[in-house]
Amino acid sequence: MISALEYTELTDLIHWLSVIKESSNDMTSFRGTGQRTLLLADPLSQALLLSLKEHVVILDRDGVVVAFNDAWQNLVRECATDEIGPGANLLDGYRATAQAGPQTPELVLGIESVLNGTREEFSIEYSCTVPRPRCFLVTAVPLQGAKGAVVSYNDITERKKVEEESRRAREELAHSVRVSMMGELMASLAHELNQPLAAIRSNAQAALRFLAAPVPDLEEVRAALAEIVEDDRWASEVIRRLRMLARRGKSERTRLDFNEVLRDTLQLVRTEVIERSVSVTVELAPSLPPVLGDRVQLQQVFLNLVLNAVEAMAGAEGFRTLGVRTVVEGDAVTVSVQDSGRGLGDADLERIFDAFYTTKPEGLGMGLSISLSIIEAHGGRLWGGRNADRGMTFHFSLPAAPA
Amino acid sequence: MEDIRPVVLILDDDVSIRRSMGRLLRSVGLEMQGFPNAGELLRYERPLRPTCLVLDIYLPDMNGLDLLKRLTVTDPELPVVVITGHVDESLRQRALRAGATAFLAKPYDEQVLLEAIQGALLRPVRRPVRRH
Repeated sequence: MISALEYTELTDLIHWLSVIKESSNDMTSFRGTGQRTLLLADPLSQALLLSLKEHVVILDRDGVVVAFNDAWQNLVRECATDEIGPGANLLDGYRATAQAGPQTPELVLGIESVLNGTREEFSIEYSCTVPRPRCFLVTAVPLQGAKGAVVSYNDITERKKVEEESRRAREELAHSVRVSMMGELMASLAHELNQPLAAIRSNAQAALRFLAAPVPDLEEVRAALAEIVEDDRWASEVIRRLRMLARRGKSERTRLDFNEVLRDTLQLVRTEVIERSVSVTVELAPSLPPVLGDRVQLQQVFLNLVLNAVEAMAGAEGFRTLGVRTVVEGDAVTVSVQDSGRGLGDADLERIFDAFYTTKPEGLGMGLSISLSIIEAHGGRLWGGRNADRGMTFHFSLPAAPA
Repeated sequence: MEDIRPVVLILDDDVSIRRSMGRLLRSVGLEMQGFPNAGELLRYERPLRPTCLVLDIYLPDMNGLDLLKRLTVTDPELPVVVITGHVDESLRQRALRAGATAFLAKPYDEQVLLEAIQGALLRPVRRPVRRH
């Protein structure tokens, strides 16, 4: 056991003295005496540890608390129901803690893996609710030159709050853009709905007439009813797609077959493109790897590009063609939307993704900037360029989902 | 002996519309021939029977109004009833000026449609359209 007297001249080490004093009462709970020698041999590091605002605790190779700073001790006193002090095993403390949350096992495993050398670094965002809801970034790294770990707790409650608020604001904005797109499509969506309704009405009226005949043709009646059921499903599909657009709320990510998302979205604009005399060519890669994403948001991005393309061709002379393509490039899926419209000048091209920038007389200017933030939040890229002959092509690529 | 029963031609890209309208026409004893696009109609050899055309403006391969104007020239004796899911007054005016006998909105009332078709079948010769 090392005499504490060797360090009396450094007043900053008073705290450390108490650690050593307590530990000396129970030698069996301290293994790794060699570590302590190393720690105490560097007064500057110890002073540094004490003066850190971050909550830091040092563990030996078994997870036993060897040293800590005031900040950590205060934190433990606030959050933990049991005293976890020098000589106590932090990992056991976590395992037994009454407030074990879903993250606790992961935290324990992570620290253990740093202690046994299987990981070089571990971090986790860890919430505690006592005495008030807070979130910490807990990082564990190996203790340099000895077996053990340094675990630090960084309070990120404020940062998380700001992130959450800004995420909510972005979602609200994205929702507004979706609603305004719905407004643009309203006329053609109403037309979409009128079709199945007209078919249902005709079939129903025809069935009634057949039944009223002297010899009712029941085969016609049966066929009419079967078609009514089918057309009702068709009408429900149109409404379902509309509802998807109007959806508001927290982002949900699922594994998506992007070809299927595109085909579904193209149905939304079916009438719109016919009314505008746009001919559509669709070239979808035969098999796409699944993409992890929020279906509503990604549909919104695609819809944004398609509506922009259709708008770009309004009043254009000659062919109005819209080309939609999906390809697999490496481990990413790329979607391209090509138009034969007016095209954009260099000045516009530079600013097209900026918020509030628009080339449309009644445009809000939010569509592409929101689309960009959606794609980037998915880890992808969104870009556009002029075609060699005429018009623009916009592309976005998304990483394939991990297996 | 020639078949002189009338036949109604239906040009609409929606198969549900063609099927259901066909059934409605059959329930009143009228025969029907359906076409999914302008190309098919233009290739069709019309029999020498009283005929009328029910036309949806929104076609995949050709503008319905352009088709109507063309038919005024190539088939002046073919009456055309226009039906459409997307109604606005200017469209109605343009359709009537282009030579349509009647203009109906979807979902259409069966009575209105049948009367329009009957009216069309009884007036096989269309007067030339007067331009204002």
